[in-house]
Amino acid sequence: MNNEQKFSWFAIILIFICFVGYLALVPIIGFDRAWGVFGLAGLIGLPPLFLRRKNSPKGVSFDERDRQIARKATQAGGMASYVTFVFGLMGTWGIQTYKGNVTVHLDMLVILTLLGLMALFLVRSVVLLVLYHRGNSYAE
Amino acid sequence: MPNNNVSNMIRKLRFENGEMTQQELANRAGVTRQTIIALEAGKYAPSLTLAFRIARVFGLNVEEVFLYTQEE
Repeated sequence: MNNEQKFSWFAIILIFICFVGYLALVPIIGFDRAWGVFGLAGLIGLPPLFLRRKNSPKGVSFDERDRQIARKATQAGGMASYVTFVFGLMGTWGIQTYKGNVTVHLDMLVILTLLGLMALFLVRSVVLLVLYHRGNSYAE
Repeated sequence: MPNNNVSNMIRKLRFENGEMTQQELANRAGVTRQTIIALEAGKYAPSLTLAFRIARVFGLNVEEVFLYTQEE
């Protein structure tokens, strides 16, 4: 397992913990305050500090196929992020306009940004792991 | 649109060259073992540079290691 795969598992587990934590806290502290648990998602930025890229003693640890997989996964993540953010924005706009509201609460923008970023990391991580798994079926 | 396929003889050539391991070929070609696994499974088409490097490990031309077929 290379650093990209480790990072992907880290991101998936962290996002899963955030959602489970949110659902667990909602009955205790309510919908609005439970969103605070998503602050844990900020830890996704930490892996580059402890996952250093280095060649293994046996040879290279990152090559052209890894770069290709990372690029495809990042594209998929970027698209998911864009779709989430745009649909969220337009959905919010549609609902609020229908209700006759002129202004939108700031929380909505924060949540949409958060969901867009989480979609980026979640989809990137899942696609990356799937692409690696597809090529590893014939290992000796 | 035509369907392009690149197959290869890597697995056969490894065994014909002293039962070379995937790791040994990976080291000599400058890639990870996972890439060799994906190549042998036909799940990854290498860059031209990598194709040349692998062919050179076996002392062959690229066309003797990689086969290109175009399906209409």
